[in-house]
Amino acid sequence: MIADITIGQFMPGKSFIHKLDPRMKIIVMSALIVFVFLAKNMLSMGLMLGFVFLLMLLTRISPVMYFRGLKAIWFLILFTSVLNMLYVRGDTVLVKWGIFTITKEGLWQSGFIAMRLVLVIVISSMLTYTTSPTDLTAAIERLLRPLNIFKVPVHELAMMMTIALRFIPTLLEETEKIMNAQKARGADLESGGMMKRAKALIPILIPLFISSFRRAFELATAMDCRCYTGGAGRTRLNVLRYRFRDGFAFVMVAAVCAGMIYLNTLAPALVH
Amino acid sequence: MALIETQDLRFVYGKGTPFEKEALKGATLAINQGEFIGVIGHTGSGKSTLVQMLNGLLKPDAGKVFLNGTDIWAKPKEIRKVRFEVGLVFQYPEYQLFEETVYKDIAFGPTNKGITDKDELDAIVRRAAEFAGLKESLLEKSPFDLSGGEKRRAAIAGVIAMEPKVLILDEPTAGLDPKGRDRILNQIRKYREQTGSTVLLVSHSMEDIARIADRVLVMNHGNVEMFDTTEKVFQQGEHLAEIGLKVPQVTQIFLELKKLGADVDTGVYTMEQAKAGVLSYLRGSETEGGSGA
Amino acid sequence: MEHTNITSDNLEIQISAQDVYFEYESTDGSEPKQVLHGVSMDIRKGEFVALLGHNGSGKSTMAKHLNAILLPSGGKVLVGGMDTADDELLTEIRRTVGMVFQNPDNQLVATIVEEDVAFGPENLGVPSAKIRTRVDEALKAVGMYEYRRHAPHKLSGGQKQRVAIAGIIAMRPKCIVFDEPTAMLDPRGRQEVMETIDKLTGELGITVVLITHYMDEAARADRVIIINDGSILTEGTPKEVFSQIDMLRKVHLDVPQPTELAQYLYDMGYTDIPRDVLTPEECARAIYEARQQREAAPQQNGG
Repeated sequence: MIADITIGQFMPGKSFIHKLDPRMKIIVMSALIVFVFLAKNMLSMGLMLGFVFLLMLLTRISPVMYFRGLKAIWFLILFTSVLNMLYVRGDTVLVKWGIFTITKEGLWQSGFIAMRLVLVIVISSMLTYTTSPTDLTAAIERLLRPLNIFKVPVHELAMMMTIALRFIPTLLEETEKIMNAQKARGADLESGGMMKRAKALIPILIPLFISSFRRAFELATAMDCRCYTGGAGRTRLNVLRYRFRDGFAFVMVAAVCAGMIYLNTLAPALVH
Repeated sequence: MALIETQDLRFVYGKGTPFEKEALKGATLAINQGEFIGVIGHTGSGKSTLVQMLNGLLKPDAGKVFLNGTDIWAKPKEIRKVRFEVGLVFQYPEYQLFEETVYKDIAFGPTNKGITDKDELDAIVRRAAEFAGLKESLLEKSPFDLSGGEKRRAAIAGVIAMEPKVLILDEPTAGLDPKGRDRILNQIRKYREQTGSTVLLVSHSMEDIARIADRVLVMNHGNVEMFDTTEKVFQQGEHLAEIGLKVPQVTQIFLELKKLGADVDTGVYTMEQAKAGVLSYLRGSETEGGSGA
Repeated sequence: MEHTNITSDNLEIQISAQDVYFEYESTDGSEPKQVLHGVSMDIRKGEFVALLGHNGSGKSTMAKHLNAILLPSGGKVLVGGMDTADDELLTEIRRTVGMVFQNPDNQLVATIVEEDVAFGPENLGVPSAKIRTRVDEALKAVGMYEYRRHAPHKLSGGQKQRVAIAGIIAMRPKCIVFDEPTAMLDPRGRQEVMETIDKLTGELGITVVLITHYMDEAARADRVIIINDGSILTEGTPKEVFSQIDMLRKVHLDVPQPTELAQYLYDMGYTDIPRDVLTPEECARAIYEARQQREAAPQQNGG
């Protein structure tokens, strides 16, 4: 059933990573992603791999879940690696077959790029797996607050995100109900060519839009009744507060990143 | 032979997920041509799952549904045909309206059924609109300009227009005011009298069921708890209360009387029966221990 | 149910609607639609008032005037002395009079129950620590405290509606207006919501205005007001109003079955049966007592 699709893929838990302040998580995980791209040789990449693997273990979420995250884009990884393998020309030719030439350098570089992509995916999955959508929204709102100076409606954007998250399951359920109702009137949603199928969606999309508008209107009235007037003067139930563990996480990540830069200088670069 | 028969229907939602829920645990029942069946049971009793199996929207995990003696899933590719035979009106059906005019919306079902002849379609649409109590003048209006009760009836007309042998209505009066409710119940009663169709009405309102049904199907925890004449079902007031269902208020009066020690028949479920029953009880001293209707 | 029969004029008036007129402007250029024609009513502190009327009678429109969602086109509405037309007082008026709507789904904002309940107090700028106390109290009051970390879409209709009520309670209003809060619920959900409303009017001392089609719900109120064609048709205690069977029929409202039966018996000559019984229990007792009396004195037989 479509309503079973979970959004955000948050996996509740009580690990050290789960308990980190969401803002700190966003900061350090973004830093890690940037530094993954700065790793230039096997030593520095090895350090990043090792550290991210350690973090994975710390989340106490089964590695299978991370593989599942990778499954969605394995094709992209394969494609970019193959492309790199073929494009990058080095001195040590390994295979030459028609117009294709594979060199040792090309092989290294494509492996490196694949590793980068895998790490980026694993790090971002880690963020969404260990942080609830609500916390994520609150953290983004807080981190982006400085943009208010440039008249970016940060609070309003965060509110929209929250409402979207709240209503996605409701609307999915509604879609299913409307589909069933039209099927009960003999609508054929499963057969026919592209055009016919696209046309068959009209009886589902129109009621869905109309009901979404009705919901939006009613929700707006309900929010008015609860004295919502935008972000100004609002307080929060859960105030984000940095704790000792957040400082610790920050120092650890900073140390790893610095170490990686140092390792970059110890061996020749494999990518440019 | 019964029109609809089910054998040991079973169904589990969300199999293999943490939200797994057994909705039907072996429902067996038979419904005859022309019967008016009331279906009651609280939310989660399996009644919605059951009705969606009767028109092939849900496929049972085990068990069979027979329509006119034929297994509806014998040819899974032709399951769509079953939906024209067994018309299902969902809860809040007005949310499925989508066409520019009421007329076109009512024509959606019969067109899907394959009716292409313009005159034939026209006759069907107008007749369905009449059964639903929609005035001719409404047919060319946008369905979204109708009142709440009219929208509901337009949506019901859209199912009636498929000319099904069986009409199932899932809480057709939910959220309506008493006037809108009475209107719909009267139209359904008229429709059934004039077409002789079989009708299943799912409702939370015992008063509505008591007023209109010949037989009552009581669902509880995915099982058929009772399936008997309206009188016999409402006689079991205490049993119904045990499974979290109420009885009509008039029945409650008689159950209360009995509790007080009065010798009355508790199989009373309409106002007429109640009036006769109470009169005979009050005159009891003359007529010697008179019990109700 | 006890009926406290608050009729005394010495109680403080919380909401006062004075000769309210309202018309909807038409979208297609035709005549504006008159919905309310001079409605006046006073809602007193701690009172439980039920508003009845068929769809289109204007009762929902009237309710929306009580916390300035709609403003009268003639006359005025005062909430604790504050004129709802005064823009400056809007927040103060809405924190005084909260509102719960029909569709529980369309009034919950957040993805977690407790965050939703906190929404109102957050908007009011209540300090964080105090929001926590208010949220916990409100959730306990509606019996949803155990569900505070749940996602609203996984709850039943009755539970969602109780969360919506908690969201209003957390704003500490003096009055809550319920606009057909049980219309979309199953009997169990209806019961949950009605028990919650009983608690509001009872131990929490909140003034309640309930709009409903269900006579058994209205029967719990101190006072019933029937609105028809945009004006007040009649008002009084549930017994006074519901015993006017012909009037109820005329305005397309349900007649409580016990009342109908009792009046039939009265008309048949059993004049010792009161014409204003409301509940099956009352009705059964009246009938039983009538028969007992006849057994004691058979010569007085009626009918």
